[in-house]
Amino acid sequence: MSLYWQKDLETMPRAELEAYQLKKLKASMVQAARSPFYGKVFREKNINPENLHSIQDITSLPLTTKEDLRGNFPYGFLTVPKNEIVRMHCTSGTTGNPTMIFYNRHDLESWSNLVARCLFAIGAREDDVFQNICGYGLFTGGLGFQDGAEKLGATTIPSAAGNSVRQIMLMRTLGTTVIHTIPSYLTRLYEVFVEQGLDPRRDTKLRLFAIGSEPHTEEQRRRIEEMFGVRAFNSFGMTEMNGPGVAFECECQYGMHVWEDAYIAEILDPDTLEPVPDGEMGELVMTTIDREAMPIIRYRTRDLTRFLPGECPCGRTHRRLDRFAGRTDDMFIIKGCNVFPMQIEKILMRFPEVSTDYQIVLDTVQGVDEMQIKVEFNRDFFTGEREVLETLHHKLRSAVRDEVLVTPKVQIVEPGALPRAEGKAVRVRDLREAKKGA
Amino acid sequence: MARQVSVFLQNQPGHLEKVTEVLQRKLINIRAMTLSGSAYGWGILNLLLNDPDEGHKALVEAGYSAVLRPIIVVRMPDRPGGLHDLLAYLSKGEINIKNAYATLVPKEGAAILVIDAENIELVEKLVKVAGLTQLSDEEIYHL
Repeated sequence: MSLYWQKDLETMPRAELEAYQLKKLKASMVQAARSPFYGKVFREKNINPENLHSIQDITSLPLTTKEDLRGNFPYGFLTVPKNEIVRMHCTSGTTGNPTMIFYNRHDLESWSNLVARCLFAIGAREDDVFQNICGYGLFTGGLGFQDGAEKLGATTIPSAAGNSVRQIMLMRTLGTTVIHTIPSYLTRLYEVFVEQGLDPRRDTKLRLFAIGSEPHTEEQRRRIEEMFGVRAFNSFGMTEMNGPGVAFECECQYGMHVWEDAYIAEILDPDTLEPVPDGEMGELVMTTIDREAMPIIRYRTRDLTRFLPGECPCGRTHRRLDRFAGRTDDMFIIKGCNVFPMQIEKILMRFPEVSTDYQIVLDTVQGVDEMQIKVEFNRDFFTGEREVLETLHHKLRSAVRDEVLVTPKVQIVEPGALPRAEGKAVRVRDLREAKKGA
Repeated sequence: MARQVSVFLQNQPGHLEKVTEVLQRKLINIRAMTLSGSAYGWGILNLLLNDPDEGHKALVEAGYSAVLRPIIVVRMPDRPGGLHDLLAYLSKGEINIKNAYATLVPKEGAAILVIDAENIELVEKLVKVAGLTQLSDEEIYHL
């Protein structure tokens, strides 16, 4: 059985892959220049693809930001006549214009092929039954995985988000083997299995999970795998880069291969915007090199990660991105300290006494900002003795303080007390007075 | 051995009421209870029920962190110094009481003390030595 969906591309030697990227980048720039936005930028900055001599020269190109995409809403990045567009997706756009991405036939073909490649890499095959538990519609995770799984040849169940009882019914009736969803939903789903007196290890045929769209820690992944007896693979995608299928773990479960025949990934120092060496953390910057309707060059993702140095035992030559450490824009500042929610999550996962759900509430109490961490108590650890809870309280408080240098107000809450998200879990609520005025 | 039901509760309006609602629906009677809060926004509720197994099951099914804990219930003379006499024996035996609560049983003209301690068997012996009586499970659940 082949290990690869497209062996030639996935295992192409680095030098060859970089030459391939350079060729595709130049072609993408020619295509991009047809859009109003890049046409103007390239003219003004006198940018010519012929001046690129190696893939490293990409650093001479200007960066594109979320503000650029919003400011040129909706068609400023379009390079083809509107009648060539066959699909659009967009981001939720909670602040200002949403970001709309347009696809022509080639783009959809290219995208679904990448998603199929990801699913193949984790071991999914055409005889699998694939249940896609995520929002369909404007969100790319629904149709993106649908198309990719169909291309793979799996039986694809578009079960969408919500209604856990029906999800379980579908899974048991149709013998689902592979699920794509967000990690926080799997812990919710497990609770429903238990409520129904079912054990997913015994009562389902599940064998693979693809999880993504939501930052999570290695510890959380291990817990999910333990609960279900299923291997869970990390998935990375973003609407601006088509959607899912940008980078994915292989069977080694160590870092996500970013498909470098379709994207150029760079890691930059977010302050100097210079590339950092492999292995160092920085901001991920992405360029599409296989998209026609709406190429995007050097897009600042605001995601913090690093390239994992070294080669992957799976034989793929495409570099691996580490688990995301957070986003440059989801960091919050409290009492002068920079805190990433992922730092807090990592600490909480060290304590089996608390469940995987948590919430960080930032509030101003009598003029002083405080960080409140709400965690659900895992009932298996309840003995009826207050000492146990008090000790847990103190341990959680000092573990967080030691890591982020702010003493939190820890609140241990009843199991099930935190809101269950059907979409992305809301981990941070900022109610501070300074924010209210802003 | 007699048992009480201990429940983890957030210290918030309405949370205790939800517990009593669950018990009421199952027609479970509360014989005695204590609720102790902490400085951290939660507390522990201890319940002496006429049917601890059913009560525990109902609360767990309703999603609560609830456990059954062994206890001993001692009958004390309802007069000044009644509790003191009992405690004098317990402290001689170096018994550390984790939690205790008392209630009057008017029909018997006596008071009872519910004790949650680490070494229940030793407590039972000391109670005997003190010349006091321990309530049987049957007596406790049908107070």
